[in-house]
Amino acid sequence: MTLTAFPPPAPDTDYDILRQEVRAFLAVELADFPPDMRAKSWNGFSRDFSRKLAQRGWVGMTFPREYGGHARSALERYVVSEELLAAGAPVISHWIADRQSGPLILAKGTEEQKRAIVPRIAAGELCFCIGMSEPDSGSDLAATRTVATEVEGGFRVNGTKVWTTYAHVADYMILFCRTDKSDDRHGGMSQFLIDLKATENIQISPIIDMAGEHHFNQVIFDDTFLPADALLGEKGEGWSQVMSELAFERSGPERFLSSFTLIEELIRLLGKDATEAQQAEIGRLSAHLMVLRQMSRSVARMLNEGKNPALQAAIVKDLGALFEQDVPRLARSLVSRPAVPGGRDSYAAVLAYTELAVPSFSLRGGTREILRGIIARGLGLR
Amino acid sequence: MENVMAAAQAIYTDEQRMLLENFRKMAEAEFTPLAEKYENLGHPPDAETLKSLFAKVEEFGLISGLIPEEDGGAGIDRMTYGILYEELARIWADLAIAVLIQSHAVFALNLLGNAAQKEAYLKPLLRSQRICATCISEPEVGSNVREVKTRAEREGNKIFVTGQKLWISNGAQSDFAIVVCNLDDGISMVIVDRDTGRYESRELRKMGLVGASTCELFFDRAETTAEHVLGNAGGGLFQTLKLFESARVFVGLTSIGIAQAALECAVKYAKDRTQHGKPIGGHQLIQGYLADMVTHLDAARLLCQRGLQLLDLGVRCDTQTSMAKWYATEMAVEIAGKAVQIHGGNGITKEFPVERHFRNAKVMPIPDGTTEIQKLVIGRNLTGLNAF
Repeated sequence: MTLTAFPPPAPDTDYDILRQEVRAFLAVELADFPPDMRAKSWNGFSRDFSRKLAQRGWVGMTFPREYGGHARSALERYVVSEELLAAGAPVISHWIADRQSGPLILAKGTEEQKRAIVPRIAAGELCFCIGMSEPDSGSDLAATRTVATEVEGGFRVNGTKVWTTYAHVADYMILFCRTDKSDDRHGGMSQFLIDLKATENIQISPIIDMAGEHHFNQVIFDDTFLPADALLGEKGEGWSQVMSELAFERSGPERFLSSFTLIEELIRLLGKDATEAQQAEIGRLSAHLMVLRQMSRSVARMLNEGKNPALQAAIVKDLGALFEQDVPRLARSLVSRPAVPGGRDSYAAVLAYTELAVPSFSLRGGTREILRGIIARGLGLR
Repeated sequence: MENVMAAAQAIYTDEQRMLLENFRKMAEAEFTPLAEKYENLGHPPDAETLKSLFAKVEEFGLISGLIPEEDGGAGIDRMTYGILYEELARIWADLAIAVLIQSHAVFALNLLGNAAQKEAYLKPLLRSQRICATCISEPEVGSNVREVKTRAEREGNKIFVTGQKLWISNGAQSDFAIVVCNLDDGISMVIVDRDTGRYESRELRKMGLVGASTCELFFDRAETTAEHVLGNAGGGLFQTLKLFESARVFVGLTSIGIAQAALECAVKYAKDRTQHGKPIGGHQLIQGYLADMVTHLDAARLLCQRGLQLLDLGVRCDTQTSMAKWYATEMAVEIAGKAVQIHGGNGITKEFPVERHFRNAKVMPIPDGTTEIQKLVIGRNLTGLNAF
């Protein structure tokens, strides 16, 4: 790794027409969508919105046409993602499937799995969740204990997953678990594609977050039977399959735009009466945002060229989370208006939501400490 | 971590350590379950319950401690009072806020009240029979007292108070209020009794400290009398600033109690949680976090305790109390945030208490003068230039 390994991103102007189309769509669809709902960023859930977006061809954009996709580039998908996040659109219903589960199935799935699932993702019909973390296996993913034991016709799964975002509404889960005992900590892992609506003996219960909201779940597998064709990819190759998903997960605009609604509310509130000190802080914030955007778009270019920018993605995610987490602090320092959950004052309501949302930004998708370990390793320090 | 705390507390006197020990035993037994209960209920205790809680902490002088024994108080030095107060905030920060307001009303009434006012209003507070709210902030006026809009108009011997007050602690349970308002072309303090003034209150939703009452109060020609003007008519600005001087240290101490609780959670979790084959507390990165947290916490505590000592000396110390307030409240946010980070995903759920400490810490940089206001006070005192 050299510190200059962020190639310049493609010119922004290449996608002006697409960007304008998305903005026009969002202006209509989200005309009455209030700021405190926009503040939920990519945690906002609306199947209806995801379907409408898909009808415009903006879900599964990079998927091949034969699987219902639109064969567009990762950079075009990036433009759409960026506009959705900037507008605070409710995207989680299709987000995980579009970002990583769809590409994973396309890369590792059987032909039957691809044909059965991918077109429905591209139609905005399917919500996916990821069964990865466990009570004793958070940052240490290799400590996974959930086990799938091979039985006649399939597998029996036992174990507990936690922090499973939107499992309570999702249609499918990509489960990561152990299928063999292995001396290699990373060996003997596999992934499964689970139809949550048609599988018995799965108990899903809520984990309430500090904002009092229900996004996370605990998912218990109690001798759950999965048919043999639920196996996704090669048995025992789960670790490398999961690792290849992470660059998709860690570098997108969702890693620096999660507090964007608060930035917009703050600028609206300060308006033309902003003092010099307030203008300077907003300027600093905007400069950081632009740098992050360039770095993120650089990673998007590398992904588009088939490279593996795992290290650069970790840098973007760590810096992005620091930025997103700093926005409420900055807002409080510029405006002496307390946060009020759910109040009529949209700034105060957005601040209240964002204040309680930001601690999770350096935990989800790999904690800050894990990311810094990856960066250190990339620099040859470990 | 007990050894670290004990070493730091060696600067306390034997009496202070004994009092702290006794108070801790009582408060952990009595208040820990209640803190949990009201957190889950999501609203503060009712007036009668709050009075009984005040009576309980008054056994250690936490309601009347700021006034001398000859005036009917417990007459505790502020340093000792602060040690007990911090402990209360560690165990139940919501109650600590209510105690802060009540004890400072006692302080204000004793300092500014005449004999009749002390008889009618101070004595019931000392007996935990009534509850007082102090009303300063307004919807359009936050930390700058000079700009209050609430007005009081004389009609003969009667005074009618009209206006809206915001962020009023103990507002819902209050029996009377000390209202900072405009009277006779000057900022004044006027006592408005709920029996005669019939002011209304509306509880506000907050992100943290949900077991402490924070209200909007509405005064619509609330009736009181000339005998209810507290201190000098027109002297309210100076009087309010004097109150702030003391209260700000206690807001800082509230944050220190919250941060101490968060730190304790983090140390316990770091020792219990095993990842990659060892407790996460065995990683250099986590130990670095914990060392930062405890150092900042101790620095904040010492700043606040110096403020307490200066207040006891009776010297002007608004610079030092402003320093203590902004530093302690901001550091508590930092410390509680790190404590959440150490907990990983568990830190942002209701399953572990650290999320409550984080939400509570977030509230504290705002009341009794935001961080920015504290810095303007310090800057003004350093330069002699007013940047308000």
